[in-house]
Amino acid sequence: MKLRFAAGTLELRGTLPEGVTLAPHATWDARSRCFRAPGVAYAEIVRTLHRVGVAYEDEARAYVELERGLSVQREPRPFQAEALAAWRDAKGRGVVVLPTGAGKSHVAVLAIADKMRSALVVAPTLDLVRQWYDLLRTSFATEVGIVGGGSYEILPLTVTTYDSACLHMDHFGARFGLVVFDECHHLPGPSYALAAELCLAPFRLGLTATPERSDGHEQRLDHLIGPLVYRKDIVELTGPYLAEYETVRVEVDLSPEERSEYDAERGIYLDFVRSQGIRMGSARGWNDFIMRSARTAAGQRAMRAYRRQRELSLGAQAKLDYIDRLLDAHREEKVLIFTQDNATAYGISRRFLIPIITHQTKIKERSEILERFAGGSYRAIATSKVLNEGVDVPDASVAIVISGSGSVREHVQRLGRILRRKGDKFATLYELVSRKTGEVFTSERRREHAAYGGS
Amino acid sequence: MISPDLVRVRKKNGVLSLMKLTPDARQRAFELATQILSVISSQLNQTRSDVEEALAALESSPQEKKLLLALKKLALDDSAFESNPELDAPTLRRAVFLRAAARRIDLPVGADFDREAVIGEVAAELGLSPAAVESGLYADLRSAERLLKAPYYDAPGLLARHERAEVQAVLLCSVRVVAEVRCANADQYRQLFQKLKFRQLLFQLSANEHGYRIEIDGPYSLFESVTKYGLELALLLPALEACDSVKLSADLRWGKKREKLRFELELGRAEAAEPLPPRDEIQVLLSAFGTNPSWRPELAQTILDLPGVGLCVPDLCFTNQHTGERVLCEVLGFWSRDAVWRRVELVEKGLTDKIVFAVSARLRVSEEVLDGSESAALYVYKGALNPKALERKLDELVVETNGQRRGARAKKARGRG
Repeated sequence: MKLRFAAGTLELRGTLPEGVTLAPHATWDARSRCFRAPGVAYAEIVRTLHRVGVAYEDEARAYVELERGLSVQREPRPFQAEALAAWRDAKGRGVVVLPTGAGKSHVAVLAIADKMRSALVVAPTLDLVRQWYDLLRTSFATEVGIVGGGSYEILPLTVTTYDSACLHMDHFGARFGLVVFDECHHLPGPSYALAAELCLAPFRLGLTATPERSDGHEQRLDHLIGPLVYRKDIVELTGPYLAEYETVRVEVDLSPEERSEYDAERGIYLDFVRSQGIRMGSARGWNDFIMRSARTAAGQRAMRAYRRQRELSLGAQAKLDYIDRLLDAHREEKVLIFTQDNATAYGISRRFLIPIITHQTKIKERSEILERFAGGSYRAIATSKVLNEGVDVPDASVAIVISGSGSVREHVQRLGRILRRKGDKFATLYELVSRKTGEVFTSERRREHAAYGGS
Repeated sequence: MISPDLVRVRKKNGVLSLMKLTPDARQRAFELATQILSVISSQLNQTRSDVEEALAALESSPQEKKLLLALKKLALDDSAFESNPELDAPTLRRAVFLRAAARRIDLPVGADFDREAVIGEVAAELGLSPAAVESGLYADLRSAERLLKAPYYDAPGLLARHERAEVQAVLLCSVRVVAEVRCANADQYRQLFQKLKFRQLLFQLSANEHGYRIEIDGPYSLFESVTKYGLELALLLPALEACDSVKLSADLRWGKKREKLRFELELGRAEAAEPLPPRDEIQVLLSAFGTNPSWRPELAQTILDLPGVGLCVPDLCFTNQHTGERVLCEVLGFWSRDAVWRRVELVEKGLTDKIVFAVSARLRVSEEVLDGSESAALYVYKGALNPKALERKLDELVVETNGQRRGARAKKARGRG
């Protein structure tokens, strides 16, 4: 039997002894006259061949042993050591759930050092790729490859984004024995899941603070990575490992001009919704609105009205004035300002002359901004969503959420950005909400988490 | 390319079809295309956001919205933009933000942050006006790029691109495509299969009444219907269009709900178009064998496929006038040595059709490579193809009525037997 890696799948050619089957892992493929299995089945297939004593030639596996282990030995915290042990017990396949700021990435570093196989780290954003690159390079004192953001260099330790992994896993999926999916709640989506299916890494580690998904697909993590092997929630680690914090919700008033325009535009939007019998509270309400608003001139006007009223509530002038006060009040601290959209973030950057990081910011400039922020020459950064997840800004102690979606995960992760413990740091998250607007409801939805005292 | 949400489609009984433009709508589409190109041409040297704002002012009815957005997208994609090379925006930003941070931390309690003072100080240091600092602060953003060149084509050109883009956008959502293909010419088939291979798509081939039925998807499609290969299938479209006729049927997962739909389309070169002539060297052979008493040549209509190994597309089929036996011929010329070795592998792994591969001597391949085969031969030629030499190779492969093989090849085969 010969195993070959072919575009994210395994081709198996040769004959099996009578009575031996590779089902359900592999299937006969009439297109190329061979058995074929998804890359993710590699470990099971090899185990099966060993078990039944079939000799095989493995041309699929292209990963190597790492030449050197950890160059910096850092004593793991008790929960990190427990997480590693649980993952190891699960044959090196599983998901570890730890709150943001608790040091999930150190668990991954320990796992790589434990298995000593070429490893790929998949992260959601280029900022996280940059951060993993720095961490792996320092931890293993070796060069680290990057795939994504214009780079394509594959080394035994490589970091990539989910988007690049989806695009290229069929090319490099055989070159890693261990794959780490950072913020792995992204993985079960229909396209990202393929990145895990097309990779033959026998060892897999998923890291997240919030595995639950609104579509319930977190169950797929079991197949794509492995079972949930360890979990600690934010309230269990606050104090000893995470900074103490408070969340402050500030309600601001729209100016008279804003209020008048808001009411008029919201009226147009609501009149249309009512006239069409659309129930915006129902599961398909939003889709109905999009579909029906596209059909008539009145519908298009209602869509414009919806956008404008939302724009007015999210970007109210009073919020901007309040930022000025907060920047002044926290001038000795480091502040992250989050917005829902790029335009508002650029507006804040321009008005307060503070650096901004969006998806358009090049890696070199991002690095420089974060370095200056860490060094203290910048005291505030404006951003829309790219700093929501995982990015390590240990000194930040103040987050100002100007606007956001109704997503609990987004809100929890924004809070997580300021929770990394440093000395006796006390963190504060301000959430600015326009009073008597639809934003109040959005804010209530996103605060439904234990971290905000919600359910 | 445009995204699927910009395609005008109709769904009925599980079939998705593109909405055809009525004559009036076609006229309107022409007007919109003309307006878009004219607006873009009038905005030379303006920023992308200015161009987009000017285009946003174009009015359309709700029914025309998708068409308008799609035409704008295609025209903007084919326009050339450039960022301002004279301003180093990141450096300017760094100077401004560092100064602002320093000023804020030094502010006396109760004092207001003076934004204009910061801009003024940096402008003075860099020898710029405050307005230049303001406008240069984010000059490297995509929205600040300046229009260098409008699309080179006219309104009919834009509409033709839109027609293809709509089909490609639908194919982006395909999980499997079945193409019933007819080509008059081996080169057309060859180009299609080269594209399939280049795009790492897998296929199953079967002959039908008019040509071939090709089921196309990707390696992983065996386990799950995925749209991962949709982009490759969309990019295959030009190769399919180059065939004489194609009946295309695609299984789709459409929209956010990934609704299972089928898409059908007939395409290919225009009905009235003349068949593409064969390459010069094939024409030379056709005419050289025109009066040959032993061998009658015709353009081959066969694809030789060995699943799991590969395929080849012969150019000619020679029929022996005495025995009726047929021998195929593929003229590889000086394509590549790899192409020759792939043919040799096909023969070694079980290709049973009789075939001569004509290969230029420049590829440095010996005829002896296939000496052991009873069904295939290599004909290596220097300079131009020699019909007489090819005839000898054809003769070597046929069995005479008395069951004896003739020629040097047969002797070798007998000697080994």
